[in-house]
Amino acid sequence: MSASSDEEINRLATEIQLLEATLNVIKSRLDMTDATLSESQMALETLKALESAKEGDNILVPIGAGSYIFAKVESISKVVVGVGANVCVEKSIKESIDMISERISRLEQIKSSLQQQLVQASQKLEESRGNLERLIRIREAGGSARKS
Amino acid sequence: MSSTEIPPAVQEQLVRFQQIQQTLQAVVAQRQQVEMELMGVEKALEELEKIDDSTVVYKSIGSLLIKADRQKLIEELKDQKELLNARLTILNKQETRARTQLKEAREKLQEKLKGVQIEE
Repeated sequence: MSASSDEEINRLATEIQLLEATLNVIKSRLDMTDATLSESQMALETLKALESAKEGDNILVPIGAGSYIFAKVESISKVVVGVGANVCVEKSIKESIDMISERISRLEQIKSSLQQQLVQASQKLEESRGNLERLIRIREAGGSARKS
Repeated sequence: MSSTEIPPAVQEQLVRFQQIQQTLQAVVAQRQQVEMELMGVEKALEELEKIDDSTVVYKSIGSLLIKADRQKLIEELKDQKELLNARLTILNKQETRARTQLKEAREKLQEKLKGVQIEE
């Protein structure tokens, strides 16, 4: 077996390792984006529902683990929205809906770009794995031929 | 091919290559984290500068929201932005250096692999 094909096997093995690491990073970012997206969509739905509520309406507020507490809507003129860096601002429902809708469309763009990157990296990984397997087969065939 | 079949000098170079690779991955992850924090701070600053002092603002501490002073928050965020930008500059330099080292280590590894017949 030539040194150049050993070199190529080595190069491909390193490339596969790098691609696997890249894929894991993309997958974890995709999971994070999905989680933020579904949280934002839930907030948007709640704000839209609150638009049609009246002050003093009885509501049930989730506290986790499928449990709720009784509450009354105190104000429908403003809500508190997170704007980043642990800062929250009082805004009207309309402003909050606009802001969260904009956030959702930005997250959808990020998600679609990440999905594209995932497909590209997966294809490249499959290609490199195929090339590595092919080179190893050739090398093994060469080794067997020499032995016989 | 098991690691025992690789000559020690190549093995050493391979370990060095993998160490630099891990350093680079850690630096890239830190840089992305700082960039995300910076984006959050810039967005918050933008929102705080759009409103006036009559708008009520809060700072979230754990799961609690504490009423805050808008001007003080702006100052706090500006300081945070400055700090994050400084960290980003350092991380960018570290990333460039790690990429150069990785390139050099790859070239050395390829050089060592040239003419080396890996044992069957």
